[in-house]
Amino acid sequence: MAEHKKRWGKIVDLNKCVGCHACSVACVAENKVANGKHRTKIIEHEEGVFPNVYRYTEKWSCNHCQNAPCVNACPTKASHYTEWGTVEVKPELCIGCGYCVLACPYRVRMMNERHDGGLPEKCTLCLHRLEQGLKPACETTCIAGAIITGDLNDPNSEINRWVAKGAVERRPDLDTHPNVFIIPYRR
Amino acid sequence: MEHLYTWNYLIAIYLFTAGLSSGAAIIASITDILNHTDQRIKRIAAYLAPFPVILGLVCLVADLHRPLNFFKVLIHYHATSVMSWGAFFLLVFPIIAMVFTAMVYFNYNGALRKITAWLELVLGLAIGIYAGLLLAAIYNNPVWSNPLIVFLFFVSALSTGGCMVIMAGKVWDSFDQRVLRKIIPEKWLPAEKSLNFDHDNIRLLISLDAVIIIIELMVISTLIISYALRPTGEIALGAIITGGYYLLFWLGVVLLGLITPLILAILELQHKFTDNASGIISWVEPALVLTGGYLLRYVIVYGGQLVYPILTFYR
Repeated sequence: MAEHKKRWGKIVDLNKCVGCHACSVACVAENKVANGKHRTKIIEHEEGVFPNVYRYTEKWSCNHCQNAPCVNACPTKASHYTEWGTVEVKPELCIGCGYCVLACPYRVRMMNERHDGGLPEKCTLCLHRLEQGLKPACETTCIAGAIITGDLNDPNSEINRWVAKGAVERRPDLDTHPNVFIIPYRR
Repeated sequence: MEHLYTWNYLIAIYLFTAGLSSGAAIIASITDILNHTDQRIKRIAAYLAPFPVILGLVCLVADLHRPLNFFKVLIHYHATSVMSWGAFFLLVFPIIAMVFTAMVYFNYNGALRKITAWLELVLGLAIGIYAGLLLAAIYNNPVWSNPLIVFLFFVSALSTGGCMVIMAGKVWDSFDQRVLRKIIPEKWLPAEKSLNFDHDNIRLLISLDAVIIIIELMVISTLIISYALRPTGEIALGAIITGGYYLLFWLGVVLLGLITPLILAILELQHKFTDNASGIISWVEPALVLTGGYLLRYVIVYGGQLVYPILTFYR
């Protein structure tokens, strides 16, 4: 098989998500996230006009934008793109100013307290697990099979079959070109 | 809700003090470049310019979550980051302003004086504009990402800077006699003993301030209209104009910080105050403008962060 550069991505199928918060808890356990913080969380949508109303849940975490407002805003280049297309923070450069937290249009970052290191807390797509050939913690624990992670540059990967099912970017109007997609909720 | 506010009042203090320094530096450098014969306003403004922003920088570092790493922002620059540009200006401005302060105090009139005055003007404009740009550059925030925020903060910087000069001018001579002239060695001391900052200087600054306050009121009205015309307008208005921090905005910023000082300034220009009541114009009016200037930053900084949870659901 020909060598190619990986571009890790993730898709969340909102039709399968049941909002059980298992991904949120698994992420905290796997990444030893500080007390009270979350890298991924569940948000609930209530949409429609009475009497045709409906609600659904959505896994909400870093979208690993290819044109990331947080990376553009960072004054020290601590927020950077990894060679696999994800967005991470270099602790040795971060001054903890919080500008990336405010710049993120998806509001997926949050600042850790000073005694917890003071870094912005964010999803890393579990790169340390992906490198070992494992799935991210949220995907392995998802009871509904709503999450899939894979290489977007590999045309034969399962994630690209999910893309074909109708995955879309979150807030395409922001021009952020995320590596994380959703399959929108259909009634 | 506990993670709602990433930036707190320390950022508001910084934005306020950067405005004070910017206003004082612009007044000092313009009067120096124009070579105005009356030295008093220029001297007071030049003496004050570096110090508020140094206090603001202490607040900025105190607000960092990794304060021991703060020097990294001075070593690593990032062209796309507004904060990185600001860090450069905030590093250079206090140094140039201190040099200019020393030049004015010790009556240095050499070739470098003109260059330093121009540098002070450029850097004063830079930090005045940067304060608003820092917030306006966050492009998905309905409250902050508005070019008028930059203009509003800049106009407010001129107003508060001028009022700081009025208050400092009243106490300068006694401060100079009692403190400075006891610290600085005799042989370096400049010849003239006192500035005699008097009522004419105050009247000049007050009349300028009245004009700037009118401009500021116009900018605020334009800002409200600009919010209302946007698709996210309801969110922005709800955060600072009709809900959220609206009491602080209407009572603190508009009524206490703009309308009342404007009325006092107009009464002063009509010679309505007797000599006994001169304290109203030299202390009360500037103090109100300064309070309003701080509350403006406070309302914008906190109101802008109030909207974030709604943005998560904004499609």
